[in-house]
Amino acid sequence: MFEAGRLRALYAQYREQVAFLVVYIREAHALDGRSPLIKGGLPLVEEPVTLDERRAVATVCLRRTAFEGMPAVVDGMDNATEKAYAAAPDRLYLIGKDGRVAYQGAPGPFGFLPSALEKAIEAELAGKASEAPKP
Amino acid sequence: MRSPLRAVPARALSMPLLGMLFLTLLSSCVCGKPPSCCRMATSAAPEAALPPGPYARDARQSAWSYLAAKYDADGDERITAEEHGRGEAAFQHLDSDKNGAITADDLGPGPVHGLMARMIFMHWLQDDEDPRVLTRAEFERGLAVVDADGSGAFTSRELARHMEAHEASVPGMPVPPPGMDPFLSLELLADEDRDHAVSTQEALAYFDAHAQDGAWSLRRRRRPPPGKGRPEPAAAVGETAPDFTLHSPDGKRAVTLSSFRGKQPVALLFGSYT
Repeated sequence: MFEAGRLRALYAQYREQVAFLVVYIREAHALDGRSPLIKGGLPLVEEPVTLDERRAVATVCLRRTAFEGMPAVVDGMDNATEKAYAAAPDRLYLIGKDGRVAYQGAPGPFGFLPSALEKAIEAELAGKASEAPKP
Repeated sequence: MRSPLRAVPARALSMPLLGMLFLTLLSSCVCGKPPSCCRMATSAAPEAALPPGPYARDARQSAWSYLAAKYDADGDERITAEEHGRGEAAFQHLDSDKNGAITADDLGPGPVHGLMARMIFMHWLQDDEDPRVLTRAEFERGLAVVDADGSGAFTSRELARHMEAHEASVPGMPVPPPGMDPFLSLELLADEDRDHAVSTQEALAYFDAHAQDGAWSLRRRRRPPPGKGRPEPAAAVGETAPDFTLHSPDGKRAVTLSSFRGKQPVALLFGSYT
């Protein structure tokens, strides 16, 4: 996930009005996966094979990035939530107070736009529905 | 903290400190923003507090060093499937050269780096009518522009400046995500003499190695057949969000999405560490 700092800033600004939840899913660039990104200070992570392993990696991720302290949950090893939201490798959503999808970011990494999420939050809080911006 | 520090083989601890210094030089972010913008924020968390798991504790450890320490039980610099023991798919991914064992040679730049490198060149070195074709001549002209100080080579900084100053010229093509160092991909693939700069010669060698009829061209992406390609989300905008109950990383708190209905909107940030 990118732009942890910007998302943290959104959290700080809107947390009283909007619940923020980091949903930790399968690795985008596992060392032993299809598209490893080796070198350059990026984290070395093998794709977890148990829930305990995924929870451990999530713990380290949260601790070592600007997401530290934010509410977070970990997807099950069936990747059910990731599949339901087509969320891999990363993706931003806003669920409205009515339980409906208010904003659905385009798939990451290129669609992962904190600025678009911010606009959606503002629109939701102002009472209007918001659509994902066209790529 | 409950968990004791996982026993680390002496071999991992003997990783050359020089190697760590070297990787420090490679890992600086060129976006110029404070470290919290980048994936790897600095953290003072003591090592003993980190839970055991399938990740390198030292973010600057090399991939081979990590894998060898963990799996190369007989120390012969080759990790067999038996030594690996983490599943066929994972082993096959790691054994890039398909010689039946994971070795240091398997851990070079991957397909993502090639894609990044080509995207960078296609985007930022175009200067004529057809944005879908990058000719060698365009490429050479583009390199001269990137190489602002005329040194005959360009560095991470020069490339970043060029990318900031110029719009990507291929409409509809994705751009490298913010915070990721695009130069790294070029460096991994083209910087033959390892001087952290890509010279005109090195860049042209890379171009020629991947050119057909002296040019690079973008193929129009065909729609994948039904059933293949990117899966669709279960709910579109305006539809009820799929419910879930998931637990916090420490396993202590359960969160059910539908519990927020009628109370608050929920921003969901899906992603992972890598």
